[in-house]
Amino acid sequence: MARGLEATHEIGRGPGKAALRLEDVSMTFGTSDAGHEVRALQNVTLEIRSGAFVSLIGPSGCGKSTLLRLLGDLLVPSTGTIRVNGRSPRAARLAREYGIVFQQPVLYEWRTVTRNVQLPLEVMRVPADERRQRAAALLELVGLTEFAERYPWELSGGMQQRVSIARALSFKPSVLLMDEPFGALDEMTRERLNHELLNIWSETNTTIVFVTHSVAEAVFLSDQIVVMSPRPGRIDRVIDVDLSRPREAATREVPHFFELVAEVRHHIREVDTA
Amino acid sequence: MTARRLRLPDPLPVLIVAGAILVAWQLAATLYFNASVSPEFRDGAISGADPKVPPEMRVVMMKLPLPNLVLAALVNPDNAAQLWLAGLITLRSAVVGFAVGGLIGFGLAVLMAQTPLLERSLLPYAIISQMVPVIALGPIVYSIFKDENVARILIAAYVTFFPVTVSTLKGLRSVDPNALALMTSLAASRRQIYLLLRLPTALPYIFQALKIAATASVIGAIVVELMGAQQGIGVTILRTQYYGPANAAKLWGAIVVASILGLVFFRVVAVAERFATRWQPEFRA
Repeated sequence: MARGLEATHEIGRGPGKAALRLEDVSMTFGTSDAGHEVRALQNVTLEIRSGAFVSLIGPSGCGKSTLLRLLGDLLVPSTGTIRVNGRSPRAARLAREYGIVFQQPVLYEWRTVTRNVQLPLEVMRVPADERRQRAAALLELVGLTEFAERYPWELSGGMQQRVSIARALSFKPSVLLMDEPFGALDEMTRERLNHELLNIWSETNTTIVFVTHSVAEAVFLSDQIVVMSPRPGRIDRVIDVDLSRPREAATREVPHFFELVAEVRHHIREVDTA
Repeated sequence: MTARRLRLPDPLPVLIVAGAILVAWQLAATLYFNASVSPEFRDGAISGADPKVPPEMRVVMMKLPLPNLVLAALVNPDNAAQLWLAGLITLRSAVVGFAVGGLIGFGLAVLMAQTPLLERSLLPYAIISQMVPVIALGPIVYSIFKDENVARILIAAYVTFFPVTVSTLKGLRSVDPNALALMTSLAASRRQIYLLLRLPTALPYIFQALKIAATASVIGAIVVELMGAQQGIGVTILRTQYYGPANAAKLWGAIVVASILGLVFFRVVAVAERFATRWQPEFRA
């Protein structure tokens, strides 16, 4: 089930072209002459197939958020190459291939819920009629139709994060980058949003890269789990999650779910004490 | 958070305080007046016209006037029209100067926000400009432009632009890094980032500065009037002071008019703020 360190980690459901490819990527923060160099990532090689749901997990400081930001061209790697659907991350960003969801909802508080969802479409100069239609469809998808004209502060944390997801999906990006999107929510809300996210994902062809601290969440959602080790950040191993889909509440109760959770937890403990 | 609070309709608390101040003032002024002015000179001390009143009793009304007489001066048709007209002349210039200064201050901030180099080269001059007292600038402005309207407008703009520049700059830089990362991931243009993110973020900061500038621009216009204008509430204040105790009530009436104008201007900006930035926690229903 686990693959070795040396191999190229290839991820995805069945055949299909690689959506995301990292080759020997390293990331160093700070300048060498200042003597404050921090190696965030070292020699990361990873392939993620189109349409896959992949989680990055590992102890604090293992560089999972850095990896996500490198994929989204919010950071540029020190060395190594990244390809996104055959393009550089920058070209992919300029072609609007990324939807991003942060741990905080990052809603614009001066905009109503529907206008927040429409924000990417406004940036892309989509006509107003189409913007409104798409926002309405997405708010229905995340179950917030009746809150369309409310302001973000009138919504609970879980609802705000659903708006944030709707916003990220509004322009149908091919890659969804999620940086601990449910980390600030209580467990019940988190589980409900896990289900919703899988439903949404099954209705789109989006490739999802999902950073999380929660082992159970990673196992429940993912096709593959990338376990990372800290200082410097490296890929320790990739674990296939061979639970059948669609996954439902009962999935969390099958023995194999617990086995996988135990396995992932075991490897995280291993890399953290190493 | 849900504790019930006493919520009075909007102008009521202000009026209650105003009433309390008036009552206290009336009491104090009456006591002071009766204690300082002997009964036979009281009418003369109030009118200021009787030459038999001793000098120390004449100035009592200048020091602490009786509010009922000030109010009478404010509503007296002879005075009132003149006072309010003078006030409006001053306010008109202050508002124009406020608008001009606000636009310049905003433009400067947007310019400085472009690069740290521009900020480093321009901001020190903006700061130095505020170290030059308006008192020193007034005569220079008059000697160059020889027009009191221009002088008032320039000085009002001069005291407005600085707080607007400093606050706008701070606001434009106060953007949430993740909100900016979101814009970057959407490949938004610089202009879109300004219009959709930086300006709305800066708006509460800008209004904070505009509220300060609203009162400061009225004061600036009044101060510059003291140095050579022929019209305006500052001129009225100066002249009533020169003409002595007989004008005590009118002098204080002019001060009240100036205060009311500043207050009204401030309130107008505050209402505009509430309208333009309803999302701010203090305005949330």
